[in-house]
Amino acid sequence: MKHASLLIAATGLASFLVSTQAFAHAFLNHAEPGVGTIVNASPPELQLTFTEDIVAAFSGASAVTAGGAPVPTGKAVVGPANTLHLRLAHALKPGTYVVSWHVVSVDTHHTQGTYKFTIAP
Amino acid sequence: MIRHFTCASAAAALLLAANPLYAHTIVGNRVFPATLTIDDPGVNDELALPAFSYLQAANPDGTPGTTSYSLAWEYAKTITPDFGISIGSDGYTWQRNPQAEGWSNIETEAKFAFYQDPGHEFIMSAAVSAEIGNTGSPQSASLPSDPFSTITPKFFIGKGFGDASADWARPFAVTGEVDYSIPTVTINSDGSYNPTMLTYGASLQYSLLYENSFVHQLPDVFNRLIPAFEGIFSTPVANQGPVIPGEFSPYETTGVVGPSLYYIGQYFEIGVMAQVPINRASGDHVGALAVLDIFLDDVAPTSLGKPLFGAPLSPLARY
Ligand SMILES: [Cu+2]
Repeated sequence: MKHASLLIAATGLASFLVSTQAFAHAFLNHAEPGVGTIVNASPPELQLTFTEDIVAAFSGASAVTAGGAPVPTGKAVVGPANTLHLRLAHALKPGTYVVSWHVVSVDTHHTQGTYKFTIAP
Repeated sequence: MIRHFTCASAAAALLLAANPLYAHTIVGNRVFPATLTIDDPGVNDELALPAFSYLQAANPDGTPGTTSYSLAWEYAKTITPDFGISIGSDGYTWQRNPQAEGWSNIETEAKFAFYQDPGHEFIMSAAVSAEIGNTGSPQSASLPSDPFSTITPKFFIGKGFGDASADWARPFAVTGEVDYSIPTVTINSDGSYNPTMLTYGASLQYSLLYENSFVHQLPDVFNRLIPAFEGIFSTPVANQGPVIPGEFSPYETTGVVGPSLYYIGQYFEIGVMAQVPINRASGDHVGALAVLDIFLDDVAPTSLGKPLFGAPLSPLARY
């Protein structure tokens, strides 16, 4: 029994040490403008940073106004540090916006979600 | 150890303190941490090593009883994305007053997550576990393992409230577990009893991880934390044995409750809890629980950490 647990510990530690990359479910770690925040002026682009490595081909984001009207943007681009960049076609008017995102992490796990931010009048 | 009723109560309290299995579960956008008092509701590839427990028992007359420290472990492996097996043990226990130590029995479990609804962050699963008699320290040890096996059917549930309309409610989640433990030997050679036990527990969680991703961005120091309040209780339901004056009642429910805090890292989770005994039969004063849980699905996603059969679980593949 002592040996069994030691073996398992050794296996666990060994695999912990050999693996170098993080593959898991990607969750939104940080956004610009921030999740649930109020900012004073329209940013040039929306940035969404995830907790894990994401696959650009299967990851994207879009935004709508509180009334549901689509916000014109460029195509989402994955930059360094697992950040999705979503260029805005023109400056956003004051109001609340809803951003929807979907990503696939490198281990094929899908996650998706929405969040709001507000531009102050 | 003499299987006396006092000992049995102390052992029950200790069992409560050290018994849970550990794992983390993801359903939709919800990460259910590997909780300390009850198991989480999913199947996983994980290694809990170690799970530390400290609890002081009380005697029926109110004087302090045995102080116990234990280090438990568990290894969980998925066979398919919804079916997993695990092996573990309450591990090594050191007791003071009186001094004793020993290994607990090996426990194995097969668990099936039979219902999952990612959109509503809802999961139900069922398991059967077997604690195998005499697989720990021999009967000659100062703290021998139970000489009999125990079979336990289990039921689990988990619900995250990410689908709530009010933003303040969305980071909350609840989990629960109910076990029915049937010893294979009901009366020991010294005439003492091994009762059938109903064990039940729950956790109320507030996920800062969830709040940060979906409701309101938080500073980095907080956004991987899940504070919770949880508890576990055990009630003997059959084969309780006779009531003896001056001893704890063999019908008494024991349990611990308390606040806990989990940190969810990339490859591991750390959890700590203050365990408060609900009555004298459960313990003398506040004890502690802690666990380091290694996520093998994240550490070794293409080998050790993935199901033997079937694709890795893709909870939102249906959107
Ligand atoms: Cu994952």
